Amino acid sequence: MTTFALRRLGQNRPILLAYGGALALFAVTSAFSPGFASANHIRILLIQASFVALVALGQSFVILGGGIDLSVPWTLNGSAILMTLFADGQNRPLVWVIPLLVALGGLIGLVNGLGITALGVSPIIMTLGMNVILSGGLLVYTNGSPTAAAPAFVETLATGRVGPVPYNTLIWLALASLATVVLTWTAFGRHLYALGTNRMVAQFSGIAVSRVTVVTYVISGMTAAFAGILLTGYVGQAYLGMGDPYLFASVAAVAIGGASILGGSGHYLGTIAGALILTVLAGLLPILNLNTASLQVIYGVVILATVALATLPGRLAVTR
Amino acid sequence: MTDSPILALRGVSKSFGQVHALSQVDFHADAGEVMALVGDNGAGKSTLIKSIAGIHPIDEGEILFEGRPVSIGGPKDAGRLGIEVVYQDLALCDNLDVVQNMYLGRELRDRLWRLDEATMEQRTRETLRGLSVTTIRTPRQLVAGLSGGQRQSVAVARAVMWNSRVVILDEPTAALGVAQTRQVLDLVRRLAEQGLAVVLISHNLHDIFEVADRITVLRLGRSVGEYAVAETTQQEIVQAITAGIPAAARSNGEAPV
Ligand SMILES: Nc1ncnc2c1ncn2[C@@H]1O[C@H](COP(=O)(O)OP(=O)(O)O)[C@@H](O)[C@H]1O
Ligand SMILES: [Mg+2]
Repeated sequence: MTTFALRRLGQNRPILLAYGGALALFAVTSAFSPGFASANHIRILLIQASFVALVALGQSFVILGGGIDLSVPWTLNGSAILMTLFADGQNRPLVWVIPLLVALGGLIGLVNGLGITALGVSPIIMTLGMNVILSGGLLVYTNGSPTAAAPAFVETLATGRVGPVPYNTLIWLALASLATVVLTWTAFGRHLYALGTNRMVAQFSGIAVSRVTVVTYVISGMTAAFAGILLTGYVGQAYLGMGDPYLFASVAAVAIGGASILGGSGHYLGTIAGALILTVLAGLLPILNLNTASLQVIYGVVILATVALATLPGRLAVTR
Repeated sequence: MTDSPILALRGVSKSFGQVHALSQVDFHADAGEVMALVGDNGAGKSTLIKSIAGIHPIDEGEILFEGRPVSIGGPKDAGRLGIEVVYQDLALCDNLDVVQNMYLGRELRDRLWRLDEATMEQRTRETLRGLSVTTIRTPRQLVAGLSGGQRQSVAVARAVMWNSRVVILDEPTAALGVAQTRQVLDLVRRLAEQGLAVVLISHNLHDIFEVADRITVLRLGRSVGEYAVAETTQQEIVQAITAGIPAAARSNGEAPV
């Protein structure tokens, strides 16, 4: 029943902790920085958080199922660059460009998923290889030169607002709701949790483990591609390397949001808190006189720490 | 035999590369009976049941369901025929609760494609009650928190919930204490009394002689013979397991090979 699933989610301590952490961090940063909590700045924070959060949406599905998608940076980057090339600053082509690019992202995910399930390539190798192929391909394709500016419509999507709420935030909210429904109330969501916990049990239970796995990578490719389009609208143009920060940011958001990096536990609602934390943290760094490179250090430490925590009980059990 | 058994294997072979896990194995299970499957480690017991469940496609031979040859491509196919397997160590998903595990892979959905948690929970309670499994306090607790005996009870309940005709249990009591083994053996006996065909894999001959009607012995991937519990002794079975001596079971004309 609906209430049952919600109750269980409400009892999920890591997710509650992540939201507590996000609020606390926001309060501290606001105290040090006047204007941080102004309506305008909150809107900016929400928009900035949405890019990580969208990439991390697909990443959440992949990680829940026990995989990882390292190809998100250049899936995002490719979609951003192709969007500016195909649309050439015009709004009208976006009618087919946006669906096409999201579908292309899905296709990248499909190849990742098939490589992992049908060929048995490990997720890290498969998606890392895909990332390298995409980056090389794009360098060749664009000759390394910058492309056209973002069409006005995409800029509006990324930065405009209806009343006090950015369009961007509404889009994020809609996709977050969809992700939540799928994870909480559908058999697919249930199978994903089973798969991430114990692949063999899932398989022996008659779950189509390969199909479920492939779908998670398709979702990840689609959300990365879509994030690339919105991010281009926010930045105003596409450039090579713009997706790079989103690899560790997306994984860190999932991990901070209370998911096991090894799969089987967590929820997109937690990932949202993770994305908010990372975004506020990025705002805190200049206040502490730290540059964005320190953010990379934080991502790395967070990921290693959560992996260590996730595997600790198992190792303790073995040595005991 | 006049009636064909619910489940029968004829001349089934299965190799993993150079390893002949099963060679020309004959086996059957009948309704209302517990058929024990015994053999040393590596004799091929788990491979045999995985072949029945369609997890390992067989190289040779045939599987008959109610006398008709069937091809089983996976757990779903087996389930459709009414064959359920409780795997050694691989029956349940730790981070899901009892209800979620009972319905894993076969979730009930409402018209909107949402999981029908209320009905699943209700039926879980009914199934557990029907099997007199009283040790599960609430079906909403995580399986990770259950004792070994409770886990096996859930795994068995899950297997019989689908109007199954054949239930196969791979070493269900291997990790259990005395009292919990008792629970599971009682449950096994109850299944047979309800008319199911039960296949029980176990290393414990004492347990087997208590609940089984017949015993099939596998050795090095071959069936040594089939024995009626009432007409054999533990010694004879031990000899069959270790030395592969088919012994007197042949005289009543029932043993294959
Ligand atoms: N998936 C597999 N791949 C390769 N060899 C296997 C596989 N499964 C079982 N075997 C081999 O088949 C033989 C029978 O194993 P198994 O059926 O597990 O025996 P049992 O359950 O009776 O202990 C063993 O030699 C085992 O090593
Ligand atoms: Mg075995």
